[in-house]
Amino acid sequence: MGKNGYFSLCMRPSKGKIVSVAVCLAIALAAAVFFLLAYPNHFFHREHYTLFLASGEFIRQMFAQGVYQPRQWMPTLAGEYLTQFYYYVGGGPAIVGVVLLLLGLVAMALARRLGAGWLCASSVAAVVMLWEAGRQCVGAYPLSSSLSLLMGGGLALLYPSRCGMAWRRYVAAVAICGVGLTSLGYGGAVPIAYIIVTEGVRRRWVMAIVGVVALAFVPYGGFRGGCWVGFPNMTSEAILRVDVKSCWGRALTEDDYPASIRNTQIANSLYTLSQIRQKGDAALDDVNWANTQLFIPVNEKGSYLGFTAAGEVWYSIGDMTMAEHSTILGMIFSPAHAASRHVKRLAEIALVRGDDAAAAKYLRILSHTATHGAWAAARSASAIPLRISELRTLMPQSDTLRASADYGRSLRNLLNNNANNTLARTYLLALDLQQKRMRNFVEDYLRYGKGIMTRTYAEALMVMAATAPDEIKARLEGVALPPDVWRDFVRFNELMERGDVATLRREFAGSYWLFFQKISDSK
Amino acid sequence: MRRLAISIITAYALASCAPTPPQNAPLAHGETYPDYRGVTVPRAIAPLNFMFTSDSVDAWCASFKTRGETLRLGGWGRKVTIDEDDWRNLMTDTMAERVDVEVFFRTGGEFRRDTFSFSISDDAFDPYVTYRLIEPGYEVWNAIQIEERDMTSFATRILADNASLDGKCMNCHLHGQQGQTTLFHLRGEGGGTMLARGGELRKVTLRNDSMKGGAVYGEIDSSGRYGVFSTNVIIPALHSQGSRRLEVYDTESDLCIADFDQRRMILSPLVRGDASLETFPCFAPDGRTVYFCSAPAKPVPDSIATLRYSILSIGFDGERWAESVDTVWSAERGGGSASFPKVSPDGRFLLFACSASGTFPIWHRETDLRMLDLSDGHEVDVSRLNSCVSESYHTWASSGRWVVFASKRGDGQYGRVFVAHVGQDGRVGRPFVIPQRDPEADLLCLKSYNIPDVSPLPAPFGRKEVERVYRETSAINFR
Repeated sequence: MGKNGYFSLCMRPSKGKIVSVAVCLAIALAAAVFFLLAYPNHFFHREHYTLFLASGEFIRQMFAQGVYQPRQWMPTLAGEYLTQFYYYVGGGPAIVGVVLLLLGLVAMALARRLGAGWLCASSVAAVVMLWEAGRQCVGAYPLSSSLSLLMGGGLALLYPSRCGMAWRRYVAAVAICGVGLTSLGYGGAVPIAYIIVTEGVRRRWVMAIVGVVALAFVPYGGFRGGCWVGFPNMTSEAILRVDVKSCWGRALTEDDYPASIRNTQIANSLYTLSQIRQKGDAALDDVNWANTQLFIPVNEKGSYLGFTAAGEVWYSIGDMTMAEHSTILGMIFSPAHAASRHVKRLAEIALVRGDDAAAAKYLRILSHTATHGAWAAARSASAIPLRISELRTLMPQSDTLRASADYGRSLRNLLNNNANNTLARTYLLALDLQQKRMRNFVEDYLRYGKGIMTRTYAEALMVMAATAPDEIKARLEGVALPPDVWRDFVRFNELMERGDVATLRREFAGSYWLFFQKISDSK
Repeated sequence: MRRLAISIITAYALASCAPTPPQNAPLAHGETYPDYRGVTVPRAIAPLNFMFTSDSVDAWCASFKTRGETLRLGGWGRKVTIDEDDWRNLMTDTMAERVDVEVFFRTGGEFRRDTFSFSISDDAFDPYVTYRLIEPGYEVWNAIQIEERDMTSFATRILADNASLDGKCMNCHLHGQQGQTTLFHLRGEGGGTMLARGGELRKVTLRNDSMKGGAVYGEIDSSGRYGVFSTNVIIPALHSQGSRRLEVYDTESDLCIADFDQRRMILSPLVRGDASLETFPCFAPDGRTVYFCSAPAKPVPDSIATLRYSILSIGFDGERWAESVDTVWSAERGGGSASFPKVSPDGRFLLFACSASGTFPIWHRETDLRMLDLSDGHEVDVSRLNSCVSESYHTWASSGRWVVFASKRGDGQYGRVFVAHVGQDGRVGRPFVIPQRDPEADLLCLKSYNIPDVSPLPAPFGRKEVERVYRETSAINFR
């Protein structure tokens, strides 16, 4: 400690100090490396769902709409600004690593001021850092929450606890409590608690009691997406990985789709989309019909992640109304009700539609961000990105009116307007098969998919050829089914008649017939 | 040290002053938002801040001249913002009927000059506009606020926020009786119609056992005693082509009148039943006539493209509906489908929205405002109010000299509040968007200003009262 009792950085560091700082550094570095290598998608996700504009008016609107809370303004604005830089690979882990380091150092300094030895102080720092690192592992946990604690701790360090002049302490306490209660959110409790402890230890009860009263006025409500305790959730990370890769337009592989997430709506739907985009109709040969989520319902029961995933599917298929519907809902149900990812997608949808005025609005908004300005500028220029051009060819020229859950009508309308929309075709046939609407399947197959023969289509057509009424059989006469499908169908029916479910499962694992007969599949 | 301080202050002062433009700068049209050229504004309107939409504009100087006053301003950047006190001084020059604006703007290092003017009207103006702030989503909502804005300044306040009302949908806020009666609907369990009347805010259920549903669209009469409403079974559906997006249609709709004094619903078979769809009712100023939209019931959604609403009228004597219905505007002859008929306070004009078909004008880009002169039934030209996107949700100021409506002009997606002057002969002025403190506000806002309604008085409640009434009171049932 320095001459006046203040923590002095100018003194020659002791061994304890060096070790303690090294501990903080090590923890911060370990956390950053963990986030970078094993947990990066949580940080991309947070950037996706942040929209921060360098505009006083925008910030005013966010406060007016209750998205930002006035008594948390300092960490909120700082956190929202910095979260933009999670856009870059390593940006999130680096920023959070630095914040954790600073948090550790502040915690250590405060502990030392309270008389703790180096071992105790570094333990406190480690606990605080690990606690906060755990919280940073949770979903949409905002950086603002960490900054609230950091700013509170920093404010606490300004309190002259060892100053002999009472009036200085009183003035400092009032100023610190004022800032803490009006600007820092729940982090304002840190300096107030520090004042209570230091004053209490020195039996200066007036300030201690005032501090206790002030504690009651701290806004403990927390930040949107915040939590009190957290731990890494690798399942969540895997789901977000699927979501982030889909957002970037990258193909998903088996490695991206571990067993732990196969039953989740979002991962399931996006993986299916990716497989169909890569393999076309042949993708359906690998589909688990009982558990595949072709479309995520867009209704009041959904989640913002689900809406967003639904938007990815519809955008790819070419239904811009549904894509826009899903995207807007994904945005407005997100923690901050505004999201850069969604504004980008809305701009793209408007460009596909040729709605230049709407696109200009979204691009203007993005031009005010720190990281998406170039993206917006590229799309403001006259050259149209290739993907936009491709999607324009899928736009229907005739109209139809349907409920948002009437997927079949939407898909048929797209195909009636553009028979080359292979994605819409595959999804339509998949929908018919999954819903076991076999008559619809035959109609849709003959109308949109005739000539395309995959194992799954063959199996489904085989069912209809064997069991459908004569008028449907007659329509299938021109369709040649592979001989092995005939053979296998005979074998399947033999086993069915014998009731040999075990052999059925073994020999026909993954077949459509098992699903059709409601026999569970071990696949 | 002193020298350093003086240097810093001088540098700051110099930096604060906008560059002086040459007087012979060439004339050029500067694209601005909002565009206030040729509009007519109320004298008490807030400053008409505007901005140059081009990114290359980096400095400006402007002068606002009336007969007796001149206001000169300058600044860096591309936003022309006017101090409220300076603006007030300019506009309260009572001799002034017009403001001439000369603005120099620097682009690419060179100054250009532009001029325009706008007119000032002393016609009485309702300064309070209430609207719903909601994203242009379909079917599902999340955060909704009902906000009140004082158009003589930039002051706003939240009247209701569904974040404190369990996420309930709120809609159809409206004023009556010169602003002394206000209501809006709070949907869902525990909700009701929040009615502010006689200085008290209450939750009421505007429905009785013989009605299929509660009140939806409506209006309060000038006495404040009666409200006329439709009850609708509303179905949303999605278009797949182009920019039409959402369609909303009714499978059933009828009319009713609520007597707020006696807490009863007054019904009539002439405006109920399955053979036709009745909706969007409004009172004539004397409260003796109800105008409404009606269409023969058809299978929907298949026939939506041919479902067209006419405007009819029926009498009301305070106790009963009349026995006959008259056609005021025929959809077949008029060539469209009418919605939201609104009668001017002097009873002379009927303003309505007209789309190609259906009953949901806001998402029909072709929707335009049209106006009838009720004295002889001829249509008055109000094409000046319209644009290539939808105009609707219009309302009259209590003086009858201003109309306020929502328009999606600009980006075609987000509704903004527009005001237009209406002369005694029905001639309309060029509409202007309500000014904002930051002229870029509308361009950055991801919410629509939905269903604007104006009042001479502020609403007599705020969000805390709404929450209290919602949580702590039971709805008063009407018989």
